[in-house]
Amino acid sequence: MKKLLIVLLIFPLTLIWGHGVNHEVSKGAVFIKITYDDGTPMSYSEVILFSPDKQDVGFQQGATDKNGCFAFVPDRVGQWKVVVSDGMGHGVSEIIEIDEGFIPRISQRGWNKWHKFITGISLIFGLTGLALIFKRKKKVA
Amino acid sequence: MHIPDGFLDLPIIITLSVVSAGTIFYASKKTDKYIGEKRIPLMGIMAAFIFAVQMLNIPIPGGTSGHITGALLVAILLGPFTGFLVMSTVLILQCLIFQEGGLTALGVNIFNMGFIGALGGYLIYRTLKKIFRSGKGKISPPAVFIAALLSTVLAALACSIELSISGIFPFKASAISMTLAHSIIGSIEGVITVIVLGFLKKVRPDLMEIEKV
Repeated sequence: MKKLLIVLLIFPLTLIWGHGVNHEVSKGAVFIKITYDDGTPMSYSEVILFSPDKQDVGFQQGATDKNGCFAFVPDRVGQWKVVVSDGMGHGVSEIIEIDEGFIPRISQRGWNKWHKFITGISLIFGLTGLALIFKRKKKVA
Repeated sequence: MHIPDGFLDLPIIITLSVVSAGTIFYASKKTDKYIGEKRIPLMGIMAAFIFAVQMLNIPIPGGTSGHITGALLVAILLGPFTGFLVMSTVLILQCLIFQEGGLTALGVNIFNMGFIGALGGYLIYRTLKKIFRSGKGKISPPAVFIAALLSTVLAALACSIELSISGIFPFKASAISMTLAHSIIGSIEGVITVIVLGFLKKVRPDLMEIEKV
């Protein structure tokens, strides 16, 4: 009886050394969405996040989700660097500016696919035309 | 395969940029001797074709995607050095205007897709053509297919070596995923190259006789 009492008293004490886990559901994360130029999300791609003060050691490492999104919670203001790579040589290295209110400066880069197509083809044909003009001038001269 | 800024170490960037710049200089000198009013429009059309096909993303199992390069096609049609120049022009345009591939990684991207894709691909094609004993002026479809496949896989391998040396990816994982994915892309590139060359040979056989520089 005495032994049982001792065990019963000691057992709860062992819980003190156990690791408790708390959680908190909150909002306020910054997220970046990565897509290919045709709008397809860059899913499950490796992401390394660098904080403003330590640009050589990763602050966070993870992957984009199915929709090409990656979220992080900045703990200081400054320029955060996000490097995303799909493992196929494609990726993006983006600087996200976090201001005093911990709000990211929103930027949108990239071209609409059709704008890109028309601009690119026009430039190539334009350059070809220029090359032909110069070639003719050379010949005449 | 368009490596962005911030992925590569400085020694790799410097070394491969010097190789690419040197090859551009040599290829320009070599092409300039043969440039004519027939070659310039064809170079422009090939550049437009490469630009367009590189915009078409091929979905690969596993959630990623890739694109064909068109490097071997232009190298077989116009010659390896002209092919290299056309590839370089497209890559410079993609980088400067559309931020596709980083400015610091431009030399490396030219090395992967131009040097290995066009020059390496053409070298493999010529070697295979001799092995298959294909006659002069003829196209050997198996040689075209294998050369397209091998040059695409080699370019992908080079890309994974560069990324792993720079500490972005462990080599083994990167090489396996890149090689597997690009063997699918390389096969598609091979089929498209065979079809386009076969079509051109039929409708415009004169284009196949342009001097290969």
